[in-house]
Amino acid sequence: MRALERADERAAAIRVLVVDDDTATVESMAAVLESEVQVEVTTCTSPTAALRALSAVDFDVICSDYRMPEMTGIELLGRASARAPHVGCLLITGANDYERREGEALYYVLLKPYDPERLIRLVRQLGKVAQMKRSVSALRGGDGQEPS
Amino acid sequence: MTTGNDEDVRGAIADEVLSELRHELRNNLSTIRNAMFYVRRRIVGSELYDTDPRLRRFFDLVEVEIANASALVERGLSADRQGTRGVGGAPARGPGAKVRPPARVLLVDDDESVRITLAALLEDEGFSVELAGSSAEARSRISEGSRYDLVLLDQNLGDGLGIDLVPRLRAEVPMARIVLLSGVEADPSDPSVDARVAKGEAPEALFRALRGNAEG
Repeated sequence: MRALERADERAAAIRVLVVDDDTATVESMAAVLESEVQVEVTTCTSPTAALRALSAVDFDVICSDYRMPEMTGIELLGRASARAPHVGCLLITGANDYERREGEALYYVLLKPYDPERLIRLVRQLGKVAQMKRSVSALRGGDGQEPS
Repeated sequence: MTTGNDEDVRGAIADEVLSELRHELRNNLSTIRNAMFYVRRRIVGSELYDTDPRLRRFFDLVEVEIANASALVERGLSADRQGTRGVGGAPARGPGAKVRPPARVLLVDDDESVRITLAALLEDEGFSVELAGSSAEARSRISEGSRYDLVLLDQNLGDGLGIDLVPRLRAEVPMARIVLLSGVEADPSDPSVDARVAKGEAPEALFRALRGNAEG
């Protein structure tokens, strides 16, 4: 019962972490996402800061740039899903050299310059899935780990 | 005297610089697009937006210009790939590619900037392109007896609707496939055209639709 209430509360807003080393980019993405109701955005301009934020807050979705100084977005998303198995991962890239490889963390890809409506749709879908996964796991009395 | 090696190195550096510039441009375009989206959302429904028609027009204009600019960024990319330098990305048309005469396209759009940009993109992709700026011009092209493999129609043509040209096209150029460039108001289930591509979509989606239709 408590698990259900908790799940309901969480369904209220989608919590999104936006990571890009370019300040104008994170600001504009946050603006687009926050123009929607029930979306809460946290921004980080480095992968290290993002990992710190991930250990403090249960995010539903993480949107990351691909090319960043400390590590690539793929690496960051891999580490994020290891820490928070329910989190939805979206890689946003404008790089020519980006190539999707097999066997990497499961993530969605959005190519720049994307349609902002598409960003919103993807984040909403990923957020809903993340919240559903989390409530199922709460009902099972799980600790947030994927059922084996 | 320069050796082939020097040229290779210079080519590789040029490719690297270009790739960085493109990356930067895509980032910038994306940021502008996001910012405009936000501003528009905030202002739509306000008294100001309702009473000043320029606002809507300018928002639309910025959207079109961003789409054109990003098409140009990608266009430069495909032009590079056709180069014979042999450094960097693989050539777009490798040795395995089939050689066929270019598909002839009639592009009907009343907006000159769209005609210019799209024609350049299509030619880069190996299409042979003829242009018409209105329904009337399109009709006279057809009645001249020109043969086309594809007709790319804008929906709003100033002197009529693109879709209204379809019966005439079917009668005069029965072999041509017809692709309608539509806005959101178009009925996607309308069977009278062979494909529809939303105007805001990336040029790749358009090329896919065109190729599918030229070869199908």
